[in-house]
Amino acid sequence: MLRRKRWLREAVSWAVIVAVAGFLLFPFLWMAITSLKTNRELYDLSAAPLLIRQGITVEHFELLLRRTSFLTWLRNSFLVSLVTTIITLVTSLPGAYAITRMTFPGQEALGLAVFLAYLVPPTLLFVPLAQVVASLGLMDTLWALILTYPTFTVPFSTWLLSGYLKGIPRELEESAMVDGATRLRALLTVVLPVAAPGVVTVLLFAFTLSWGHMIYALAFVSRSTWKVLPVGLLTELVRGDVFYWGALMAGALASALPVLALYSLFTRYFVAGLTAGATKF
Amino acid sequence: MLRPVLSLVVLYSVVMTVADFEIIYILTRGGPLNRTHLFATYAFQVGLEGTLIGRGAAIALFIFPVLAVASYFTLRIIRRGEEYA
Repeated sequence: MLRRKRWLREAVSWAVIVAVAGFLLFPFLWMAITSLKTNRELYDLSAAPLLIRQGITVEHFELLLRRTSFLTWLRNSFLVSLVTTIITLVTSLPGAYAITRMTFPGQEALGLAVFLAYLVPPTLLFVPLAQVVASLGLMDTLWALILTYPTFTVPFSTWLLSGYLKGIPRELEESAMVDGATRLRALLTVVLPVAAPGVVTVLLFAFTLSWGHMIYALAFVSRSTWKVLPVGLLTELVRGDVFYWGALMAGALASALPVLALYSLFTRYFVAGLTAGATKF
Repeated sequence: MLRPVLSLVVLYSVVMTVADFEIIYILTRGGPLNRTHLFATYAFQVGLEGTLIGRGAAIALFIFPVLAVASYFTLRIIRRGEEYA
């Protein structure tokens, strides 16, 4: 009686896992299948959506690579995301350290202000930022993106890291400072290794967010050679009302791959970092 | 006990939905006859594509009261939850 109950519970949990995983992975499956179908079968109303019956083709990938500036967009996306991630790390780690470890007037208010800055979304700020960027002469350059992306990655990263650092006991760096290290050295050699999961979380978060961000990129950059991936795919593969579905799906799949690779490299740190920083506010 | 985390998630979801831009722009660009516009997409259309920047900024600024109210109530709930923690 007990054995059958346990079997049933396991079967139910497996069914739920398979259902949820299927639901989440379904878009990727759809994208992969669509990008390999011929155009004839894609526009055929009587064809089954998830089966390839009339032959696998690489013409969409060819269109993507040869007739659009896909590789240029890929390079731009990488540049912008990497530099934004570096800026975010360099800014948010000392900031989080200052908010949690040092005492100065207005410390708690500053922490709250950082969190509230995250709540102001890019969609509110893009109009005045467009004016600022234009007046600085940075329209249509990657610098416009590199300088504006940190506005939404740094607040959340600082908040995340400060929550994480609050869970690290002060005794660690105090013992290092008693032994003669300066505060900076204590931060780099003692706190940073212990806070590595949080730092990796910030890295992944900043990279992913800037990789997929669209509104600033759409508003500030309009030359094809300086576009980032999401904007390029949207504006150049949707011409008027003609959607180049095969190439769109191929491009979307290809732009998901770098983020996927990054996540699979850092996945064990990511899980540890998420749960550790979440309970302290 | 779950209330602070839950209200944080709700606040975040509300903010992200009110301020959503990418999904709507990609799917309908504001929709047939401007019917599926949110603040963000409408501000984009009026401010940047229609070059009336002042009006676009005013439209985008409407998001702010929604955010302010939502964050005030959420922070109150979180503060109250911290008294128990």
